[in-house]
Amino acid sequence: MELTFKDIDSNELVLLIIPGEKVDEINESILEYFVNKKKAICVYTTFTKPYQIVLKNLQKEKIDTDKIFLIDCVTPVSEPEEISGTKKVIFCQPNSLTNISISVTTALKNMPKEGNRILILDTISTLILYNSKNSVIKFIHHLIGEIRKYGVKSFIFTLDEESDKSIISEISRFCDVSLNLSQLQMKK
Amino acid sequence: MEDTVKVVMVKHVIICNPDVTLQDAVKIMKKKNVTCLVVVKGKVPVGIITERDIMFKAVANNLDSSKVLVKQIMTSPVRTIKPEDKIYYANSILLKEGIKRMPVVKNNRLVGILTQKDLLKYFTKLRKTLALDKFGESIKSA
Repeated sequence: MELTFKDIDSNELVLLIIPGEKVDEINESILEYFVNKKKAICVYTTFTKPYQIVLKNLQKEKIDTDKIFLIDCVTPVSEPEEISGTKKVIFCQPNSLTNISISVTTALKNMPKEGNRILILDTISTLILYNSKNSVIKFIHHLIGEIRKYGVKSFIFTLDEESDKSIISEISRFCDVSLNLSQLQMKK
Repeated sequence: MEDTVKVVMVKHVIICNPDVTLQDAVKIMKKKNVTCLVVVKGKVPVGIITERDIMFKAVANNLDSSKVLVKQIMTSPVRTIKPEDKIYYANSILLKEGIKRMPVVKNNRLVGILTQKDLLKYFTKLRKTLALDKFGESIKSA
């Protein structure tokens, strides 16, 4: 079965359950559609790859990274948060959900009110390595409140793994739609 | 506007009298889990006694802690600061004078204590706030 971006464009909050090997492909497809085609401003929260790798991969796929702002929860930093020279990346520690939440909220608050805007959380499964499941669910629930408040289209990625099933069922209740991409093919 | 010492200082200060023995002072430090005591007469700070004073002045000289009095080994006079002084000024004093803490006084009376640790927490928070502000600004201007 195939799914097009038009199918999900009408939903504000989308939970994507993705097999590990497909994360990059799905991610790039989303960014190509929303950032390149629809000229959206994107806040990209990475829990799996440091920002240099994310940017390098996106540039390789010719995604316009000028419109992408990164919250890097992977690169180890000595301070809880600091900014890189580009002013387009901010760092958080993956075990500091409060700092991540403050950073995402700051980003949402400052996104222009006009035009297309998207938020990507890639991938929340990683957070379980550093935090309890309950804390992660509370964190996502809080973020969803903020996302609704600012009306930003958001994609929450989670891996299609047995260990994540309980989180998926909890979080999917808060989202407009949850799609399991193990069974679906995403078409641009 | 630049913050003042009042914002960062700890109001609850553990104190002792200059006439108590060193042993009693150490017991207070242990009970309250602190590394220094501000020595006061009434509410006026007259000195400070730290772990360093105890090691270098009492232990190293083999003094009897049950007999020696706090006033004999405390650091006095003690450098103090006012609550309305700027944080950067307080930090510069700590660095310049090579000290880790200062009693905060108002009208010569003890109202708090300022430590390096408190300043570090303040500057860390400030740095985070500035980073977030810059990040937010760059998104806003995208």
